[in-house]
Amino acid sequence: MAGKGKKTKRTKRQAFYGMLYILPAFVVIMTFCVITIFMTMYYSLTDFNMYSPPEFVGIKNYLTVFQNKTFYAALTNTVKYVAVTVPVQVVLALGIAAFLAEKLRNSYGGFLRSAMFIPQIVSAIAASAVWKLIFRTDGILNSILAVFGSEGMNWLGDKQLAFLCVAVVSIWKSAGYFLVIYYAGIMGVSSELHEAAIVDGASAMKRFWYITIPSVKPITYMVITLSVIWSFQTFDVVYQMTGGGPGTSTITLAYMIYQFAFANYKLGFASALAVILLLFVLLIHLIQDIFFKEKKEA
Amino acid sequence: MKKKWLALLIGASMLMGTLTACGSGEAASESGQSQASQTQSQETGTQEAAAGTGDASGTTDFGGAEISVWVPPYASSDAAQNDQEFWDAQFDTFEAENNCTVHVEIVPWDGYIQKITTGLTSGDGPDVLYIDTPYDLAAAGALEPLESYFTEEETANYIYWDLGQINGTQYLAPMLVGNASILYCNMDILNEAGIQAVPQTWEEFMDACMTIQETTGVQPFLQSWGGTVVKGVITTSFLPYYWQAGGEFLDSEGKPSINNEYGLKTLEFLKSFMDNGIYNETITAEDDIKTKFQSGELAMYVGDTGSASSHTEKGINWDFTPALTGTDGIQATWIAADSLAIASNSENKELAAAAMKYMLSAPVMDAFHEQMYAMCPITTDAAYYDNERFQTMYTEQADIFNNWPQFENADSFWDILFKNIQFMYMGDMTPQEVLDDTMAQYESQIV
Repeated sequence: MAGKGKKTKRTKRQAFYGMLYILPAFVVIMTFCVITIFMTMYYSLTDFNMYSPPEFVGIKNYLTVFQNKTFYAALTNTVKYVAVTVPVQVVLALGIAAFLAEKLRNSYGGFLRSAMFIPQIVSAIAASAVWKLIFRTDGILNSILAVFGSEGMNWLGDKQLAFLCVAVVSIWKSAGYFLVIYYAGIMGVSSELHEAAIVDGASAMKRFWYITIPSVKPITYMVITLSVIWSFQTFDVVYQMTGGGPGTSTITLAYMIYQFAFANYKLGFASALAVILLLFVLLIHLIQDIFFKEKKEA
Repeated sequence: MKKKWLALLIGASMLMGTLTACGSGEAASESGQSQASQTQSQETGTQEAAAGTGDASGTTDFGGAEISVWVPPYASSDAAQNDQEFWDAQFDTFEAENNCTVHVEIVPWDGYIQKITTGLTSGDGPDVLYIDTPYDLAAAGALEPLESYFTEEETANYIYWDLGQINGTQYLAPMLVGNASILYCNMDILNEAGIQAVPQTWEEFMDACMTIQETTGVQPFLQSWGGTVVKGVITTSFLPYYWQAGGEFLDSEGKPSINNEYGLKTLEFLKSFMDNGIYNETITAEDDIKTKFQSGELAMYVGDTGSASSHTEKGINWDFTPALTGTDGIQATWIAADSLAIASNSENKELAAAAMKYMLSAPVMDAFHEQMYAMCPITTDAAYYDNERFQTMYTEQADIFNNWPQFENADSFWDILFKNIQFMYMGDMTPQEVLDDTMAQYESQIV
């Protein structure tokens, strides 16, 4: 009994230390993340214009959201945007990282890694402004196409192309970050596995498929999670390059939230949109979690 | 065990660090309160000074009080001094004479109103602000009514004082009036096409476009329907035509009302540029019309009068008409009447008002118009510095100018209209659908 009592005391002490260790981070996260989320949820149930005190209106903002035509355009665009950018970012980052790890483990590879990471640290607004110049009808891209005899494209003035341009810039911006994460993961894969596979006569592609990809599965889970969240939150590229246009062809939920909050001063409505966006991200994350869990069990 | 104690010590220091930070914040807050009460005390003193101890020269001792002034940039990229340098230099005298400090912040045009709004709501905003779309801020109580800060004698000196009223209350002091949207023509291209004079009516204008296209191959006319600064496009590419069509923008209740015969006439006229082959599908990507005009790639465009000097510098042989005349004989266009306002949460309103008056005074505005950006004089004692070619237009044709209609959620309205006109140019909406949808979307947001 004495031993059991000692164990309990020890467990309690450990729990106390544990709580003490996480307290600073807990305070910061509660203050800047959790409380703000609950505040957003509260504001979504109010009529709030920044100046006057919030007035409780129940679910009116949510009903208005679902009656808003632009919401459906923004939702469709956001989902399309996630569907396009996430797979491309993941495949590009993994493919290039594997290539660099396999074929370019030298200073050239190091340079390429750094070069591809640069877009991540460049301001999205500044980068988008440069991309806008590239995509203009009289911009660099059409000038290059003209050299090959092409008439050029209406990159930012056409609904489909404008959407594609925004997606390309977002992929360019984030792929380098995921590449570096994948590269670190691939470098951590045991070389013995690869050596054994080479002895067994496995080709580079088979080694990539049967060794590299399964080995970096936890990283893939993280990369997809981050990529989905970032893609759902896309705002700055849209704001700078297209303003959501032409028409509503590139408008995203995050851009719509900004517009309602800071152009229309409808903080309650914008908060309702933000809560809906949060629910979507959580839903996608849940589906992703189930998918990865099933794979793991299989 | 030692490791645990070490870890505990580190954890405790981190916690202490956090608490210390909170404590500092509290201390800072207390300090802020103390400063606020000091400021309040200064303000009381200042108000007393403003009420009775100002000297004969009109200067007042504000007891070292500080205010901030937020204005957008106006200096051109090749100007001898930037906006910050200009305003800092101008306020040197004011600060010395009134024993105060004025912090001028130049806020970029992009997202200007959002920055102002965020600043005002966060409490870190300006005391005096430059503003072009004041309705929502005034309606929300963020702007201070100005009547009590200006004497009748002072207001009589301001030429455009009445433009500063919203629903009968004077919230604004017009500062920069001018920069009208006018039709520029490259006369070398027009002459090459056999056109000797600037077109004056919608009909003449469309004929000129067709003739230029057929005879010279130069792009006759463009509008910036691919721009991301929506209001800039509306002032040159929608509002002038709506007014020329005979439309009144606000109904009797002060709400926007464009779903009428004038709105339809306007959009059909705008669409006819596409139907007649003047525009192609790239119109929804166009956002740098001025550069095309200055490089001789474009024959005509509607732009601001502030661009005239740069057209001359680029060697363009330009002429203009203030505005086209619509089918019912109405000539009208847009003119800027941007203003200064005082934030209602300013702790130094008297000083803010004094700084505002100083900024609007003839010597300062003359210097601004001469060195930074030439526009119309705003006081009866100020000189005319704008382009001489516009003097007659500004002094004798003032009745053709209209400023922004002021109504609730105006930015949202312009954004919806802009996007729907883009849809029209992409073939997804008819002019009537643009009007129906714009009003429906706007009304659903206002509710």
